[in-house]
Amino acid sequence: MNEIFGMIREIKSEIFKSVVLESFLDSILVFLGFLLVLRLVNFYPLLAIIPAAAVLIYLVIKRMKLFRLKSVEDRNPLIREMLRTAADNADGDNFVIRALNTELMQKMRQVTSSSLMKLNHIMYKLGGVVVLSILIIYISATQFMLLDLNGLIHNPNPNVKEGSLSDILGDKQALPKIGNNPVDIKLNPLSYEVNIDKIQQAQPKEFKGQFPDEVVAVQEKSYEENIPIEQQIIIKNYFASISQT
Amino acid sequence: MAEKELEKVKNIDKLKDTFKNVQDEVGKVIVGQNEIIEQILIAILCDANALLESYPGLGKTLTISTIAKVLDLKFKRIQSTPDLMPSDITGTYVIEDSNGKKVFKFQPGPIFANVILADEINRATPKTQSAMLEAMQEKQVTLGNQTFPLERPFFILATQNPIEQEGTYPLPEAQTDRFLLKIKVDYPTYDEEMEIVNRYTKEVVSAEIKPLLSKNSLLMLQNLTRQVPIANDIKKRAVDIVTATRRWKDVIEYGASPRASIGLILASKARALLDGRKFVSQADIEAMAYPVLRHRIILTFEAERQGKDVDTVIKELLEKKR
Repeated sequence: MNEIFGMIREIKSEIFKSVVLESFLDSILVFLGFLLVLRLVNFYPLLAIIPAAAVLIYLVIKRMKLFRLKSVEDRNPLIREMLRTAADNADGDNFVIRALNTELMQKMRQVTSSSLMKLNHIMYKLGGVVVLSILIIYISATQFMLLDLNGLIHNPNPNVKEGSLSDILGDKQALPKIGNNPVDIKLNPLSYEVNIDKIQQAQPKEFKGQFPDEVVAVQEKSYEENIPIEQQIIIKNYFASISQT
Repeated sequence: MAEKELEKVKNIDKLKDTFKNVQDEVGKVIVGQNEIIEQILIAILCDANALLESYPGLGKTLTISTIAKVLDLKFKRIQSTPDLMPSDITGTYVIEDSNGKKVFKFQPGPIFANVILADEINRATPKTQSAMLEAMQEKQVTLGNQTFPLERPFFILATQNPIEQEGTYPLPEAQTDRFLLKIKVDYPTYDEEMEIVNRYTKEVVSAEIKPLLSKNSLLMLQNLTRQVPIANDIKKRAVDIVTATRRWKDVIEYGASPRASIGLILASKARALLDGRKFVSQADIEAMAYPVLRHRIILTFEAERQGKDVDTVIKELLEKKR
């Protein structure tokens, strides 16, 4: 009797493992599907974890609720109708039940864990995982996207265009004119042009000409003040009187 | 020898071979009829009784007497007639001389055997039928204020002739309900009939029948039958089938009683044991539904008018409940 209870517990444990494996595969497929969509619309890719986790929990609970010993029997004709008969009569004890339990224990040794899983389904799901993974890698590498949701969120004005004069300078009427001709302003982000082909090693150069014999420092004329001398005296006396008080 | 036989019976895996040998041994005398033999064995294993419906000349007496020989059981035949009295079946007190005194001594009737063939039970009067049915149900006979238990195992195979119903007293439904199975015997196939002719038109050579099982073995097998476990969903299906007979009012006027549920599960257990299995299968329930239910349901007039018979209705019911 205890053997049967132990065997049924073991079966349930194996079923649980196979349910978790299959549900995990399904959740990976969901994750990759959502990831693919999020990549195509350039949105936060980590959000794909949420539906995947929800699907994993839901499938594990649902499949364990639907678990029946009959499904084990259907996949193993050797123990058809024996397993659930033994389970339903596990608390009984008579000659025939004992003989049934002994025969069932012997036959259960021939039942493998792989028989509890639908291998075809698992193969198809693995194939799906591979295909989705390749698609995601390709899209990521080529930066292909159908829609830029991320860009839309951070730059909500869709009318902004690069290099628009009216945005920088205002309306057309505000444009400066020289005479009758409007000033044509070009904003070049690069204030210089570098021609890579012309870049070469620095060439030595000879100084030509002679140094002057005398080098004298002269005050720069722009610094000379043109304030009249009478006003300079007034100002000088004002600051002196301030300092005395 | 008895211990060896008991050990053989205890090995359930070998039971299939044992019963196959029983069928082969009966087959030395009876040609074909394998399903009939199986159903009779099922009724015996269930410690119940069976009603057999067949046309004359199909070897009913020979079949049951041969089975009794193979099972090493005492066999008696009672031919029912309208003038058959209950005492002709149960026995009566007779006056005997004992030491110069007249004493009443009980003279047991033919019912005091292990296997009884009550031929054409519908020809006996209701009073005589009730005496037989009491023995069948209670496994005892009451005469005056004395009760005589019948030897175990005890099995009655009652037969009814489906033709020539004039002057008969058909068993009421309440009485037929007490039979576990109603076994239908059909005509043999062409090849079987040819074999019968070959066997029984040559010089008379009685086949030597060996007893293969004893009374004690049979009693143990009857005990084992009740021990065969059944899964809850299969048990539920059996009860669903029987209760459905009471709800299908368009076709079935009177459905089967809970006795049919008990009978169906018990008969399925016996069938499983005959097959050497230690569990009841769905196939057992479906196979035993016919002999268990066919005498317990009464069809509506409309169903009969449409030409449906009981077996067809049972088949439709099984398909509906699948």
